[in-house]
Amino acid sequence: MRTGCGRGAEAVNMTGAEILVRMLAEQNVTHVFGIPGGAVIPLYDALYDAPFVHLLMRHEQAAVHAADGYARVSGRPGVCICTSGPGFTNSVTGLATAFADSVPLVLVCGQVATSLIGADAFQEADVFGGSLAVVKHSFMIRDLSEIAETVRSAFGIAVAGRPGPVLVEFPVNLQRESGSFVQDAGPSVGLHEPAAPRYGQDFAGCLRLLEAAERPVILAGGGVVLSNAADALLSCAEKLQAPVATTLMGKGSFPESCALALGMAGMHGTPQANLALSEADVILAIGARFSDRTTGAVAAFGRRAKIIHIDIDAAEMGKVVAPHAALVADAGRALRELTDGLGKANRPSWEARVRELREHPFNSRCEGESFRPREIIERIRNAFGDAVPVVADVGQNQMWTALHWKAERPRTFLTSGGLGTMGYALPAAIGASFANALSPVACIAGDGGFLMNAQELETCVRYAVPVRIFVLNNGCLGMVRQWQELFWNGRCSQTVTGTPCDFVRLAEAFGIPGFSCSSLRALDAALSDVVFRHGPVLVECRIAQKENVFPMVPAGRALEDFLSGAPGA
Amino acid sequence: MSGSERRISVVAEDTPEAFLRLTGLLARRGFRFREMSLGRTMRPGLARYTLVLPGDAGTAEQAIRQLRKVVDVLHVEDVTGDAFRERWVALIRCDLPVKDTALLHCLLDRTSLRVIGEGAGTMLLEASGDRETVDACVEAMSAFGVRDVLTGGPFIMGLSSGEGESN
Repeated sequence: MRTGCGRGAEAVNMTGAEILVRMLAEQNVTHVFGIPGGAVIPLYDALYDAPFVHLLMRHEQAAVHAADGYARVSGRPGVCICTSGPGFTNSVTGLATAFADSVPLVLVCGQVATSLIGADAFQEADVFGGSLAVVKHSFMIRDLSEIAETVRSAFGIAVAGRPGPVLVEFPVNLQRESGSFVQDAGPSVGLHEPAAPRYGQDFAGCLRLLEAAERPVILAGGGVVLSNAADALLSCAEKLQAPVATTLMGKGSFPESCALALGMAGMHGTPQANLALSEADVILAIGARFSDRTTGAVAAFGRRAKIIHIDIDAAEMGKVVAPHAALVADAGRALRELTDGLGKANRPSWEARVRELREHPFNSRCEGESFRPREIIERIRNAFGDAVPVVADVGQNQMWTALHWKAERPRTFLTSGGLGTMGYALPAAIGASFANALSPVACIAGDGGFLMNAQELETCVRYAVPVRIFVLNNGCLGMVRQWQELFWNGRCSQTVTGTPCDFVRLAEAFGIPGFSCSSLRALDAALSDVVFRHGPVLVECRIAQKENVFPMVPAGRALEDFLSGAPGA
Repeated sequence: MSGSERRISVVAEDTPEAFLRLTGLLARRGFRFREMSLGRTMRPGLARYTLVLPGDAGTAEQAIRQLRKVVDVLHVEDVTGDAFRERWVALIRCDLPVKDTALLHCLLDRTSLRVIGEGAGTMLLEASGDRETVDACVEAMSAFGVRDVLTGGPFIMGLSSGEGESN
C-alpha cells in the first residue's frame, strides 16, 4: 500500500470505492450512468455521497449508450458503471458501439473478489477477455495503491489521439478494503509516449495537390467533429472553394445550408455528394476512415482523383485507400495550417458544376403516399431548429434522418455509425439531454430498433428527460426488408411483422404522453404540442411499409452508380 | 531470406494481458503470423516479441501501425534485412542405437547439431542457426528415426544499435 508523500496533502483512511469516487470527481465527472449489482455494492455505497450525479438506467447496454450520447454531445468522456458477469456482458454492445465511432468513455465494471477470480464464481465473467476487441484499453485494479493512477490513465487514454472506450475492472474486495490514501498531484498517466511517426508527414504534398486541384472535394468524417474543427473546416472549404461531403459520422462538421455543402456521401449518400466525389480530381479526406459504406466499391472510389488523407490515427493511412499525400495530424490543426498555406482559389467551371449538382433532385418516395419519411424528418427538424441534437437509431430511419435532417452544427447529429447498433437512439438521447442540462433532444427510431431498448422509457419518466421520441412505424425491419426486396427476389424472410404494438398505449403505460400520426397535418399538430412539453413524449408516425431509402448504391458498386428508385418502379 | 515475409520486432509490457492484446489484435485484423518468439531483454518488465508475418513491406507496415496503437507497446519496427541477424533453435529426439554412426559423426562435426542428452533408447539433439541451417539439420536427422521435433524462433538483433534496443 503506497501511502505517498503528498506535499501538503494529508493521508486519510478510505475504502477503495471511496478512492475511486474521489478520483472520478477529480476528473470533473458530472454524470455517471449505471446499474448496481452484487459486485458493485460497495461502490454504490460510496456513490451515495458522491459530488456528482448517478443516473440509474434499466439495462447496462443502455447505460453505456447514455454515457456515449453524453460524450458525443459534451465532447467530454462519458462515464458508466456496471456490475460483474451479466452486467459486463450486457455492456459489451455499448462498448463496441463507442469503439467503432471513437467515442471517449470510461466504464467501471465490478468483478468478483480477487480470491474467486478464475473459480467460476457467481456472476463472474472474463471481463478482460470479453472486452479485448471492443475497448481502446482496459485496466484491472489489483491494489488500492493503483486506483488513483488507473483512473487518471483511463481518462487520459480515453481522450488521447483517436478517442475510445476504456474499461476499469474493479474487484469487489478491493472496493471494500480500506487503506491510507493521499490525493497527490500525481501526474502519472501510464502512457508510453508514442514515437513521432516517420510517415504521414507530407504537409507540403497535401498543399501542392490542393493548389493544383481543378475539381477538389473535401470529405469530412467524424474526426472533424471529435477535434472540434468545424470552424476550421468551414474556413478551409471557403478559401479552397471546395464543396464538402461528409461521412455519416461527419454530419454536423459542416453546415448543410452552406452553398458548399453536398450532404452525406456513401451507400445512401446524396447524388451531389456521390457524383462530386466521382468527378473530383483531388479528394481531401479528413478525419475519415474510408468505411465501405462511404466508399462504395473501393477500386472505383475517387478513381479520377488524387487522394489526400489526414487523420490522427496513423493506422488509417493506407488501410483501405492508398493516399497520394498523407498527414497524420489532428484535424483542426491540419485544417488551420492548410488554410494558412493556401491561396484564394477561383475555379468558375467547377463551382458551376457543383451548383448544378446541388440541384439534383432526390426523394425517397412512394407514389401515392402523402406521409413520407422525407417530409416527416423535415417537419421535425423545422419544429426543433438547428440547436437541438437529434439521435438517429439504425436502419431506414437513420438514413432518412441522415439525408433529410439538415445538421448545421457539430455534436447535434448522433447515430451508431460504425457498428450500426439498433436500440442506440433512446438511451443515447437520454445521455445527450443530460449533457445539455436536460434540454430537449430529438430521438428518431424505427419500430424495430425502438423496441430493442424501449425499457428506457421508464428512465425518461423518472428523470423527466425531455426526449422527443419519434417512432417511424412501418411494421417491418425496413432496411433488411428493402435489401430482400431489391436483391433477394422479394423473399421478405422474418422482416415483416405488422405494427408490433400500440405505441401510444406503450408510452402511456410508462406515464408518457403519446401521439399517433398518419398525416403531415396530424404530425404538425403533434409537433406544436410536443415542443412545449417538459418531460418525454412519444410520437408514432405510421408510414407505408413499402417505403425504401433512395438513393442507394448497391453493395460492391461505384458511388456514381446509385439507384434513384426501385428498378422498374 | 524470403521476400514474401517480414520480421517485426515488438517491445511491450511483459504481461499476459499485453500478450493477449498483441495476438488478439493481429488475429482480429487478419495478420496471420507464421512464427512468434518471446524473449526478455536488459530492461526488466519488458518483453520483446519477434513475429514472422507473411506479406510484403506494405502489409508489415499496416501491422506495425496497428501494433503501435496498443497501449502496452513501447516500440515496433520492421527487422527484416541485412542489418539484422536471426537465430532459430531445434530440439530433436531420435532413436538409439544409431545405425549409421559414421553419418551421425559427420553431421555432428560439420553442422551445429550436438547431442544434449540421452534417455531410454533415445537421444536428444540440438541445432541452432539461421532458419535454413536449422531446417537442414532437422531434415538430415530424418534418417535416424526421429521421434519428436520442436523448432522455435526467431530471435533477431540488429548489427548496430537502433531505437528499439532494450535500453
